[in-house]
Amino acid sequence: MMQRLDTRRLTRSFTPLRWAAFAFVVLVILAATLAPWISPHDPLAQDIPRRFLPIGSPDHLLGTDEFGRDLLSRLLHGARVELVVALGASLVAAVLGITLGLLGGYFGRWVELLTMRTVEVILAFPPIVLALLIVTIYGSGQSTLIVIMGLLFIPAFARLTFGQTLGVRSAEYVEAARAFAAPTGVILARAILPNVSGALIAQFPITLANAILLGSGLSYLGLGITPPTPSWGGMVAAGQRFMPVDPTMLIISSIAVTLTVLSFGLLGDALRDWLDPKSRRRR
Amino acid sequence: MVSFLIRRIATAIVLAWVVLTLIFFAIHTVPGDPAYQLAGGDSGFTEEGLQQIRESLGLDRPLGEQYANYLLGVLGGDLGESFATGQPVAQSILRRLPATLQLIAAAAVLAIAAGIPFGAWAGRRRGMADALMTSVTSVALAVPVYVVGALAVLLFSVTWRLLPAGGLTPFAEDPMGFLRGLLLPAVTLSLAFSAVVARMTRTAVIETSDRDWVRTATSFGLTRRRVFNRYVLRNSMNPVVTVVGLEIGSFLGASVIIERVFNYPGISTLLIDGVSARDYPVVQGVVIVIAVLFILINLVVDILYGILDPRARIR
Repeated sequence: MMQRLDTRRLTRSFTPLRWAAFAFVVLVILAATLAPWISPHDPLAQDIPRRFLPIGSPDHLLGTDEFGRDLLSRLLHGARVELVVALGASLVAAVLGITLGLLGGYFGRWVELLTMRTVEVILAFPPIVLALLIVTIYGSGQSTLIVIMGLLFIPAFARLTFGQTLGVRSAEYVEAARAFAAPTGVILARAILPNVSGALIAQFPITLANAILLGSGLSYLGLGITPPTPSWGGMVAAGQRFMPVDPTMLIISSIAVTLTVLSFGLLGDALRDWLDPKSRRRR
Repeated sequence: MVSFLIRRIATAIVLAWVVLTLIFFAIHTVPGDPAYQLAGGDSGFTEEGLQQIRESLGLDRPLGEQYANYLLGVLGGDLGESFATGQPVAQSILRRLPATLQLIAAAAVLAIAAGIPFGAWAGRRRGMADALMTSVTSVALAVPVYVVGALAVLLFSVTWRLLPAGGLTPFAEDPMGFLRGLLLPAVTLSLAFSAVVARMTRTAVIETSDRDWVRTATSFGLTRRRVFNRYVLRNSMNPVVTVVGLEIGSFLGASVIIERVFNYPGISTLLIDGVSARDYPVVQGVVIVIAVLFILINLVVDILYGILDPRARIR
């Protein structure tokens, strides 16, 4: 099962732009992880007399918002909130989706019907509408967001795993494992999963990007992460409200969320070209 | 063709029933007393208030009866009354639905009108054109729709004062004002969608150009332009239609956010206000309408696909 690391394909998959994206992803993750320690101020501390300070103000590098809160600190803590939600949701989606896809693809017949129909039901709703319905019933907040988006992103993983599993389920090494009377769980985990994992690993940053898009979108609407907790979507919304006075907040938060989504997407593209060579011809 | 139509329509009806059933059970999965939850926990509802919610939702009746009443109500166009205003939900939706449909139609037309030529151009020229298209569409797909909208308002309304920042005058009152109000939201909504259409058109055009019959047609002496426009492009439309169908969900979702960004008087504004106020009948009503709209558009796309590609009718 040990594969030789193909460095030539690695260098070809990672163009300079994709390396830059990778670097930015690392930067965002570091910022999110270290936010409580590197933020110059408390993101919730108000200082009304010093509101709407411009970029480059002493003591407030990126200026302040409508309550005089430090924008840099809010941006860093916002990264933390967005990433925690996106990561949680993507993990939930990956675990459930891969499990459904593996089972459906390996067993076929009624298992396939059951698992893939479940997935289709999720696809029968426009995602954000389903999310809004659940928020109405359970209320907003981080954990609700993780659960909702975890469910919404199951189909991407389930369908991908299903398709790939179909492709390898009668491969010789799977037949061999079966001939050795390996338990089904072992076949799925040791013989099939490693051989379909390339595409799945590439799907992960793409799902993260989508989760950041949707999660920050809900926060923008005021129905995801709710104020005063800092979130990028919420900052864009507040920035839009006060843009006639001071467009800085809108522009800064817009750049942060856009670059992050773009970088995760590019990283996904690079990983797919590297780990899943079959996909290159398809696109 | 007839049996294909019947099969597709039957599938759509079954799907609509599944969706309606899911929405119904969503509220009954709430742990404890749904009325209490829907009243927002302990947000000042008295026991009488809770009782009222229970009665208006029929929560005091047996589950089977509730379910039957709910389905019959929806079929008869009765979506209940708003907790907040007491008005029939169906009426509020009908008043706002035209604006939403106008927005979606305008954006779809823009996306197709921009995406297909752009993608075809990139697929035909390859090289620099291709690289340009790939980067432009990557950015278009990564920028959140609310960011595009907010920045568009900042530029066109606040800074340059060219277009209204929000709202919509009805077409009958002021056609120019209507178009000016529709322009920014429709262009914003169409952006990501046209990127998807452009990418798919490019891929399909490249794949189709490799076919043997393209070489045959060219060697018959037809000009490259004619072969491309008449044969390659036309035969590339099937995958494009498929992708359009797959992306409609996120398109409708984006329209929900767009309506908020531009303060657009469509059904999504109703939906978002309903979610904030936890006005369950309003949310349920709008979700049903959007879900049914979703199924209907998918049905149209499926039928279109069947017309474009007779092979698809068999499955």
